[in-house]
Amino acid sequence: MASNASSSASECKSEPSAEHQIVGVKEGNCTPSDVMEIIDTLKKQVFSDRCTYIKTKMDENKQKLSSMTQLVYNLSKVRRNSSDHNSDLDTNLLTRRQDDALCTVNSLEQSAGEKDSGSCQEESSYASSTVLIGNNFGGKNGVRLIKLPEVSKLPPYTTWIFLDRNQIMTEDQSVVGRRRIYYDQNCGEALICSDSEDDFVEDEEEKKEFGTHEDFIIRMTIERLGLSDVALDTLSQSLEKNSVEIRARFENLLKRDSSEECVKNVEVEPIVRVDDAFLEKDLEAALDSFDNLFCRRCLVFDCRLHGCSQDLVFPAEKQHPWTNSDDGDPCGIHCYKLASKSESTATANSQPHELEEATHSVGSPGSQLSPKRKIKGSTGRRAKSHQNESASSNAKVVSETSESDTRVNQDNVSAQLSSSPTKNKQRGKCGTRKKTNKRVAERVLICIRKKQKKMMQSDADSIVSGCLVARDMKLRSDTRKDNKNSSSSMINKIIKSSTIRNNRKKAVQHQDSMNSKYVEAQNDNICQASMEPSATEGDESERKEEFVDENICKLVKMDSKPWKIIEQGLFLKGLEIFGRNSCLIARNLLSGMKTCVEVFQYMNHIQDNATYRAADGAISLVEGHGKVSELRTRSRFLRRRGRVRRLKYTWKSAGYHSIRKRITERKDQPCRQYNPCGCQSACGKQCRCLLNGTCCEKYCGCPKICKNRFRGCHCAKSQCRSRQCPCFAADRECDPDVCRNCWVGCGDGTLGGPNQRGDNYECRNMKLLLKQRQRVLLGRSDVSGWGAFLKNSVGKHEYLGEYTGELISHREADKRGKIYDRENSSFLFNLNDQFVLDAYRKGDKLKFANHSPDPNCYAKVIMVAGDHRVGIFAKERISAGEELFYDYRYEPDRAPAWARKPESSVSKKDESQPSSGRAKKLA
Amino acid sequence: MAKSGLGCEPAVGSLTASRKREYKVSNRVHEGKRPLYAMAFNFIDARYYDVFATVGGNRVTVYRCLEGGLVAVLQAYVDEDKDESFYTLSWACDTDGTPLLVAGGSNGIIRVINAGTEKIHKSFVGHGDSVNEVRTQALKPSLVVSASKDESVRLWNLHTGICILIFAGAGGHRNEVLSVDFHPSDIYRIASCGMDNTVKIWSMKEFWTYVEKSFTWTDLPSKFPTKYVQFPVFIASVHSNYVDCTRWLGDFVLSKSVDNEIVLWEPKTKEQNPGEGAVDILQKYPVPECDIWFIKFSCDFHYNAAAIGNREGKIFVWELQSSPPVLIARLSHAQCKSPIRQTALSFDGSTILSCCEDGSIWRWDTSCSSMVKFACSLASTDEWTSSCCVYPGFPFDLKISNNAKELMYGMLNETHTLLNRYRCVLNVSTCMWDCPTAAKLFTGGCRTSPLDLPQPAYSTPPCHVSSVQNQRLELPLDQVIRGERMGEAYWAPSVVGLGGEEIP
Repeated sequence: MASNASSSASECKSEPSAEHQIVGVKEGNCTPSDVMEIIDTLKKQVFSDRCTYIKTKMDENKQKLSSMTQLVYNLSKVRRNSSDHNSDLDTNLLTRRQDDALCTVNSLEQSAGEKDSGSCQEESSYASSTVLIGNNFGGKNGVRLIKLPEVSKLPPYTTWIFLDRNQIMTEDQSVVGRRRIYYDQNCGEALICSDSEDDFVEDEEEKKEFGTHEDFIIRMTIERLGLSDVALDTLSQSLEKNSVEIRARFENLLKRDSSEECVKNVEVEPIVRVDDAFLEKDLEAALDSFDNLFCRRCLVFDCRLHGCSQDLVFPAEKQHPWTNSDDGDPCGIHCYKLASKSESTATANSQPHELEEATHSVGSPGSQLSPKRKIKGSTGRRAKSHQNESASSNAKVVSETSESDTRVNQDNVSAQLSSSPTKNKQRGKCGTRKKTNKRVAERVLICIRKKQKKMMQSDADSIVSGCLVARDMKLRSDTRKDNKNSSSSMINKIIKSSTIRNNRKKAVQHQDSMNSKYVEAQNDNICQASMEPSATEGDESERKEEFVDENICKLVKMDSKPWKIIEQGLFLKGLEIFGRNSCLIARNLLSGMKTCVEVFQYMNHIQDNATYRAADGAISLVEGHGKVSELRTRSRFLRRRGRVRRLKYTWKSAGYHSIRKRITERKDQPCRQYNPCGCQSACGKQCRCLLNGTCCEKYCGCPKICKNRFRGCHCAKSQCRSRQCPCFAADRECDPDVCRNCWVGCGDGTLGGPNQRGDNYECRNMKLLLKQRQRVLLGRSDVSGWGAFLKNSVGKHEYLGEYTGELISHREADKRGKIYDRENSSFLFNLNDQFVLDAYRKGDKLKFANHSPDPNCYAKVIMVAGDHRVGIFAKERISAGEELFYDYRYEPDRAPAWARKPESSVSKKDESQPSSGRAKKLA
Repeated sequence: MAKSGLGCEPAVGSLTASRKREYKVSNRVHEGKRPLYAMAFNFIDARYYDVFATVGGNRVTVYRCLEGGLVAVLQAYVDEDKDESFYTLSWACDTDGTPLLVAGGSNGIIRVINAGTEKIHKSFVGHGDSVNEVRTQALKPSLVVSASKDESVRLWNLHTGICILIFAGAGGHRNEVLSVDFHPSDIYRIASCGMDNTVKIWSMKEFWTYVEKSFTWTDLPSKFPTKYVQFPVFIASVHSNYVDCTRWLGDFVLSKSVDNEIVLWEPKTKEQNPGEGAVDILQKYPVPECDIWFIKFSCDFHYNAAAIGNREGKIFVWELQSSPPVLIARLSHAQCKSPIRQTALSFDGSTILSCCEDGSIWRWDTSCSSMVKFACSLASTDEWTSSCCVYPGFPFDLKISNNAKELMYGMLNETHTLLNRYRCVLNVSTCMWDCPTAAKLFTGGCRTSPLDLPQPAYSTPPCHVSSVQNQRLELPLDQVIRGERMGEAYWAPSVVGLGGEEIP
C-alpha cells in the first residue's frame, strides 16, 4: 500500500538531520558505479531505518501485550480460585478426569505400561460405548463416548438483511472486475479461479508516485552529486522510474522545501475564527450537502434507493408560500406584535412630514387594492388569451398562470414585451417597473398612514404621561428611523432604480446576487440613517436631543447585530416558505439567531429597499403574496369545475395516447427505468423521459401541462382494480398526488381525515405504496430448503408483499448469476431495462418463495411513484398457512433444470445444473 | 496485493532454524480415520492448562498432556448426526467458572458442551451454513464469536444462549468467513477474514449495551433483539487469495493466506472516516509448502511463538515478537506426511501438538520442557510479577535469557539475601538444556509452587529445595541452584544461577 510511507514518515523526517557522511565522492567526475554506491548506501540506510522502526513498533507492542496476557493469566487463575472455593470438586468431572488420567498413568508406570485400559472406567455402568485411543507407549486409554443428541439443522442460507424497500447497489458491492476464487466442494482443496473469459480490470496501474523514502534517496543523491545525467540515469535505474520524472520530482521537492519554510513563517497568523465558518458561508454552500444528500423523491437523507448526488431537478412550477391564517397571537416575548404598538406610535409623530413628501413624489395615492388591480389588469390580458386556448383544449393553463405567483409579474412583463415591438420594449418595461414601484410606495404609505391614525391618540397620551418604558422608547425611535430611512431612501431609489433597471433588465436574479444587494442596501441605509438627524432637525425640534442619542443607539445596534450572509439567505428562504410571517420565519429558520422583531424589522427594511430594485423572487413575493394566493384558490376551484364539465375523463383522451401505445407494445419487452427530466418548460423532443420512452412523473421538472405526463386516473367506484383504470392498465399504482379520487387517510382517523375527494371508495391500487402487505412467514419448505408461508388467508389478486432486493445493473447481474449458479440458488429478478433485483444478501422473506409451474401467486412489476417495484399477488384464494409459490418464469434456455417446464418435479436441489448462463426471474 | 514500496518493506524471517529450542516427538495418538481439523489447549482456566481438545468428524475429544510425553483421553463426545463434521473448537467457561467446550462444523450448529458435567450445555442453531471457526473472548469467556460460511460472524452468549450480534450485511464479508479473533485488550474489537480475500475489523462499541443486556436476559433467547453490525471499521486487502486464519498480536494482526507465509501488519484506522485506512505490513513469517487453504496457526498463551503445519506434515515454529522474526524450529517426522490443519501450543510453548488430516495427533516436546516450565513458574510467580511478568518465555532465546538474568537480579533484589553475592552469568545455550536431574528436581520443586503446573508423572516426593538452601549444588553442568522457602504456602522462586560465580 502506498500509504505505508506515511507510517514511517516520521522516521525519515529525522533522517536528514542524523546524516551520516559518505566519504570520498568528488563532484563532477562521478561514475555510474559511484552513484550506484551512494544509492546503495542510502537504500541500506532506508532499509535499516525501516528495520529499527519495525523493531521499536514490535517492542512497544510486546510491552502492551505482555501486560494484557498477564491480566488474562490472572483472570484464569481467579477463575480457578473462585470455583475452588465455591463448588466442590466432585461436581467437576473434567477435574476428576484430569486426576484420573494422572493415576492411570501412574499405575501404567507402575505396571510397566501393560495394564488394561479398563482400569479407568469406574463409571462404565452407564457408558454406552468406549473409545480406545492408542498411543505408542503401549497403553490404551479407554473412555466412554458421550453422545450429543441430534439437533435438526437449518436449511442452508446466506445471512441476509431485511429490506423494507429496494436499495441500489453501492460501488463496493460490485463483483464485476473482481477476482473470485472457487473451490470445489468435492475435492476440497482445488482452487478454481474465476472463469478465464472474465477480463480483469488491472487495477494496479503502476503507481508513479514517489514515496517519502524515494524522495529522500533522490534528494540525498543529487545533493551530493549535483544534478548530473549520470546521477539521474542511475537513480532512474535503481528506482525504476523515468529520469525526467526524477528531475521533475527533485525540483518539486526543492520547491516544497521553500514553501514549507514560508509556511513556517506565516504559520503564526492563520488561526482565525473557525467557529464562524458556518455562519460565514452563504446559504447556497450550506445547502450543498442538502442538495447532495437529500432525496427529493423519497424525502429522506441518504436515500438508499436513489443514491446521493442525484441530478437536481427543480420544478418549473414554484410552490406557493405557505398561507397560514394568522391567529394574531404573539409568538413569544420578542414577537413583533408586541413591539408593533410602540412602533406605530413612533411613526405617528414623525410621519406627517414624510408622508407628504412621499405622496408628492409618488403621485396620487390610491387605495391599497389599486396596485393589485394593476397587476391583475396586466395579467388579465395574458390570462384572457390563455383562457381562449384553454377553453378548447386545456383548462389547466389558467390556473397555471395564476398559480405561479412570482412569475406572474415577470411573465407578465415578458409576455407584454414579446407581443410588443422591440422598440417599445425598453419603455414598456420601465413603465411597468415604475408602476410597480409607485404601487409599492403607495402601499407602504397607506399602511403608515393607517397606523398613524389609529395610534395617534394613544401615543399622545403616553407621551404626556411620560410613563413609557425605556425599551419601548428605543424601539419606537428605531422603527421611526426605519420608516424614515425607508421613505426617504424610497424616493431616492425610485429615481435611481428606474435608471438602474435598464441595465439589469436581463439579469436573472439569483439568491446570491440578491444577498449582495441587501448588504448594499443595508449600507445605504446606515449612511442615510446617519444623515437623518440633520434632515429631521428642523421638523422636530422639540425632540432633537433625544433623537441624536437614540440615533447613536440605533447605529450601534445595527453594527452589533448585522445580518450574516447565511441569515439573510435563511430569511429569504423563509419568505419563500412562509410569506411575510416573521413569527414563523424566526421560529423555524432563524431560531437562536434572530428574534421575531428583528426579522420583522429586517423584513420591512428589506422590503422598502428591495422592492424597488427587484420585482421578482422572494421580495415581490413578500408583498404580492396575499393577493395572489387569494387569486389562486379561486382559480383552482374554477379549473376543477371546468375540467369536469368539459372533459370526459377516459384514458383514451389525448394525453394518454403515447402511454397506451406503450402499454400495448410493452408486453414482450422489459419496462423502462424512469429518470426525472429537468425540462423547465413543457417537454419537447429533447426531454429525457420522452427519449427514454417513459412518461413524465411528478418528480420531473416540467410543468403539469407537459404532454408527456402521466395524469393518473379518475376512477371512483371501480376502486382502480381493473384495466379500466388507466393506472392499473399501465401497471402503475395510483398516486394520491396525481390521481383524482385516490386518497390516503392518515392514522386511524381520530385526527380527522383529509377532505375526501370523489366518492367514499378507497383506492385499491396503492398497496405497495402504503405497504399494506400480508404477513408472510418463513419456514422449512415442503419442497426444498426454505419456503414462504402465508399467515392469514387471502382472496384472489390480493397483494401479498414486495420482493425487495438490491438494484444491480444487468452486467453485474450476469456476473453474480454465474456465482449464484454454482451455489444453485438464485435470487435475481429482472426489474426493467436497467436494473435487476438481487435478493441474495438483502431482501424480503418473499425471496424464499419457491418456484412452481403451477403456482398460487404471481409477481408483477409495478411502477410506484416513479420506481419499479415487484409485488407478489395471490393468483387464487390462498388459505392460511399455505406455502407460497410463483412461477419464476425463467427464460427457457436459461432456466435451471428444476425450473424447466416438462419436469413437474419441483426440486431446487437438482444436481445437474446447466450452466448455460444466468437465470433471472421474470414478472 | 499490497505492494510494499521502498522503505516500507516488511521484515522477513529467515528460514534457517535458530535451533534455540529443540523439539522431539514424544507421542503420537491415532484418533480415527477422519481428518482432525482443530485442536486447542484450554487457556481460559488455569486448572486446565494441560488439557486440550480435538475435533474431527462428528467427534470431540478431550485429552490431557502428561509429563513424559504421555497423552491421556479424558472425555470423548460424539454427535449423533453421523454427517456432522466439526471444523473448529474453542474452550470457554460459564459465568460460574464451569469449563465449556464450544465446537462447530458443517451442520452450522454450535455445540456447547459442559465439560464439567459431560453433558451438552446448549446448541446454537442459527448459522445458515457451516461454522468455520469459534473463538472465545478471554476477558469475558462466556462470549464467543463464530465465523460461518453463511458470510456472517456472530457473537453468542454461552450463559444465556443468545445470539447477540450478527456481523454481516452491507459492509460484511462477500463470501465464506473462515476465521475470526477477539482483540486481546480492546473488548469491543474483533477481526474476521474469509474467502473474499479481506480481513475486516469490527467494533461493537455502539452495541455493547446489547452484550450487557444479554447477560441479564431472562426471556426466551429467540426473543432477544439481535442486532446486525453491518459496517466494519476497517477493511484490509492484505492478501490476494482466501484468508484462512487471522489472530491479533497486540494491536497488530497476523493473517495468512495460501501463499506460504504469515503476515503481520498494522491496521491504521482513521477515526473520522472508518472503513478507510491503510495497512502497514511489518513482518512476514514464511511457511513453505503451505499453499492449501484451511490451515491455521496457533500461538502460546503469551504470544511468544506461533506454530503452523503445512501441506507435507511439517511444523514451523516462529518466534512472533522478535524483529526480524526468528524461526525457532522446523519440525518434521518421517511418518508424518499428511497435511496438518491445526496446531496447538501449550501455555508456555514447550509442547506443540499437531493434528493431521489422517486423524493422528502428534506431540512434540522441548527436551527441557520441565526446565522451561520451572522457569515459567518463576516468571509467573506472584512475588515476582512486577519484575518478571514480561519474561514469561524465559528460555526462548538468548535475549530472553538476558531477561532472565534481570529476572534473577530482580529476585535478588526482592529477597535481599543474595544481593551482591552472586553474579549470575548465563550460559543458557551451553548448560541449560538436557539436564534431567535438574529438571526432575525442579519439577519436583514446582509441585507446590503457586502455579499449578501439571504434576509430574513421576511419583517422586516433592523435593524440598530448601534442603539445598544456601549451598552450592554441584550439578553435572556446573549449575548453581538455590531455593528458598518464602512464607508458608509458596515456594520461593529458586534462583537459577547458572555458572554462578561469587562476587568478591
